[in-house]
Amino acid sequence: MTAIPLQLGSLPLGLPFPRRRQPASAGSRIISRSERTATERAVQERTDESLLAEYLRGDRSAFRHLISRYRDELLHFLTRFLGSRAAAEDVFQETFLQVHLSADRFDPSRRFKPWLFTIAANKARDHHRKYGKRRAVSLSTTISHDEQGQRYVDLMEADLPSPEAPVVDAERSRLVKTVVDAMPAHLREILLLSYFQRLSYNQIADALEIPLGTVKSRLHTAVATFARAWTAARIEDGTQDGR
Amino acid sequence: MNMNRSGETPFELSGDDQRVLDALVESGFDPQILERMPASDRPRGERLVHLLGLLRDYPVEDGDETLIHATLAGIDRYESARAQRMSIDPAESRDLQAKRFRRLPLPSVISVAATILIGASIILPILHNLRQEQLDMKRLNNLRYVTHAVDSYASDYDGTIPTARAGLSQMVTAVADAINLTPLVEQQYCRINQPPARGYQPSSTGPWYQSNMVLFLGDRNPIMDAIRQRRLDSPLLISLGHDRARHNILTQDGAILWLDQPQIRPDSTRLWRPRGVLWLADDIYPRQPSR
Repeated sequence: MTAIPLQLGSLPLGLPFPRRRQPASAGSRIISRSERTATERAVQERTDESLLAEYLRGDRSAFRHLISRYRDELLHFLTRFLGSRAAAEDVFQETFLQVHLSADRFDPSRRFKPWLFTIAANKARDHHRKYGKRRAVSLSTTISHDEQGQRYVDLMEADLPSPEAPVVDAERSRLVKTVVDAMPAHLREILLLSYFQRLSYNQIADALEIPLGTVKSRLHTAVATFARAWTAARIEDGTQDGR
Repeated sequence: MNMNRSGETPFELSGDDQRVLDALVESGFDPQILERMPASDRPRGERLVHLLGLLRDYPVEDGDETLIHATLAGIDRYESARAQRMSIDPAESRDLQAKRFRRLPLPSVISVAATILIGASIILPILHNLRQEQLDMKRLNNLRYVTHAVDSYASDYDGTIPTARAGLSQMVTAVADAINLTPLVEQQYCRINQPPARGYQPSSTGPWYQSNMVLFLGDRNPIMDAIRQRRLDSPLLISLGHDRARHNILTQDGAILWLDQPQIRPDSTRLWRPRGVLWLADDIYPRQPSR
């Protein structure tokens, strides 16, 4: 196995673990504890599964709370997956329509979130197929690599300068978007499900309906591809520090 | 060479990176996981987290209330359209049916009806014949079972078969012995759902297989039905109301013939039994096996 050193450029200070979900129905507005009514608190304390059960019993507001709870998280996932806010909003609405139609078949002993993201990923894939593949960019044209077999990436051999830019600037966002958008859809999908949605391998296997071994190897490939593409993008952009 | 979906050679993480990535994923990217890792793996884990943290720089915007409204409105529109599809206005339905009826010209109706009738006239006899063949096959199989039962019974009783006296009256025994198949059922030589019926064998002496007479067995008659339902007190009940179904005749050599019509008594009662036999005594047959 030949490990190729990578230059990942400056990375943000601290360890950027994915954010845990905030108490949801407050939405983007910050509401102090004293402002919350008893009803709002009761809604916030209810699980996704109980909200769905309430909706099945005819409580329409429960479904609204459910949409509100996943509004940002699901929209971000779809935006990153589809590369377009407009497409993400369309698929977001299709996803919850499907949730509405399939709610009576939901197994309440299972968790709602993986089910929701399974539906969302399926809808996003359908959208991707329907409206054609996005721009395919070669991720390895500017990097030397082994000509035979797979090309291996070892992050320990990557040339990682000390992070100096804690602030995410627009240029880095643009580069990240370029790299992520250029990744094959199946790699992008599994990367987002594992990192942002923090689904386990088993949950991803259930969601994508692929074997567990395939999930692992696909995620390994996705991370390696992302690492390689990030380096390539930085070189092409002429920025050695990631800016 | 392995190729990915876009035709390019795929990249793979090194084995060590794969192991650390697996631990991160399985922990749900728990920030505490790095502290629990071996010291040698920790830098590798930090680099992976740094690398994947770049994904957070992907420009995304939060949704707003408009998106929620639009989503709920979309569901409402869908449900409304579905309800409209499901509902039928009686007036519209009548109009629609009338239009459809008017659209269908009479010659078409006649030709369709004729086609259906011709098809039915071809198919129904075929189905009837198939059904009849199926029933006949079942009758033959059941008769073979009964033949075997009689044979077994005769072996156990020194060649004697279960018999009953039969004749014109109790005083005039025209036929000394008629085959009585009830003990075959009672002693489990054959099953109750196989069609034993009264039989006839004129000879009361000697093994039954030496007889040159035929053995009559009936299928699907009231006596058999009674036997099946264990309602038959006497095996020699008169078979009233026989429905003229075909009877099977099992000959000594095992051949099976058909007796198309039941025997008709002088009083017009349809009775299945050997010709000339008007009276049958019951319960006359060997009760103890010879061994």
